[in-house]
Amino acid sequence: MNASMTPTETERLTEASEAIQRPNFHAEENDDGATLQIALPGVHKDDLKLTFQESSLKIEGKRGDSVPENWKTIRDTNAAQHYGLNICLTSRLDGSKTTASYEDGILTLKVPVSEEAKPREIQVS
Amino acid sequence: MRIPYHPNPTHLMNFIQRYQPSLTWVSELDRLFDQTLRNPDFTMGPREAFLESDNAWILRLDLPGYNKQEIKLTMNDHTLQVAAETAADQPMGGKFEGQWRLGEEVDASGISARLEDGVLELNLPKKPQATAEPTLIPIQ
Repeated sequence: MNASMTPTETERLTEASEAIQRPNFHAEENDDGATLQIALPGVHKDDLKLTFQESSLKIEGKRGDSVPENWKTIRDTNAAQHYGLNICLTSRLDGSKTTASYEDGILTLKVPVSEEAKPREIQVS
Repeated sequence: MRIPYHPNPTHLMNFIQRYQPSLTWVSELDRLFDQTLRNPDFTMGPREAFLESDNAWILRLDLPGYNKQEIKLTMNDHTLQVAAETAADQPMGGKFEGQWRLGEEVDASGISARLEDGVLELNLPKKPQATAEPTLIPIQ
């Protein structure tokens, strides 16, 4: 078994774990609105924070899979513990009506098109 | 993180980078269990963490978007194999394959796995050590 890491490696990982990482995500748009899928592995639903302010959607999450004190980290390809993502919505979307669901580490957000932006028929009198 | 506004009437959302994860990625990783630490800044495939506690080794893999039925774990002659595949229409899913060669110190029959919030955690128990103290044999 290989020995545990050198002190500088431990420092680097501790520093990396405090950084905020942009999560992977996928976006789709259609006439009804937009759907966003954001990968937040390791984040428990209670540690997810979704805010909408001034046409900006902010997603924050904290991973819950920390390492107990007496364990050794032999290898960790990505120690980031915090996720952060800011998405600007155009005025066509109504961010205040965003719906969110979370399963298997994927947060799915659905943002509908705002009522004013939907096409309306104008009657000719 | 502020993202500047890029006026573009055809898009409903603005991102600084439009990241589209590839739909399939297959990663064949053959690792010796006691391999020395690689360059940590180079990563291929999902996040992987190897940890060691007093009585087990723990392997954590980030597999967001997969549910239990879509992940297959097999032990084959000291080699741990992980295969995961989602339905083709899942944008965040895809195909993943990995294998890890485990050393003799792992008790292969006691391996357990847990999937929570998109993280697959495998518990690889250590084989009980031979007692450090010699056992006294009484003479009849």
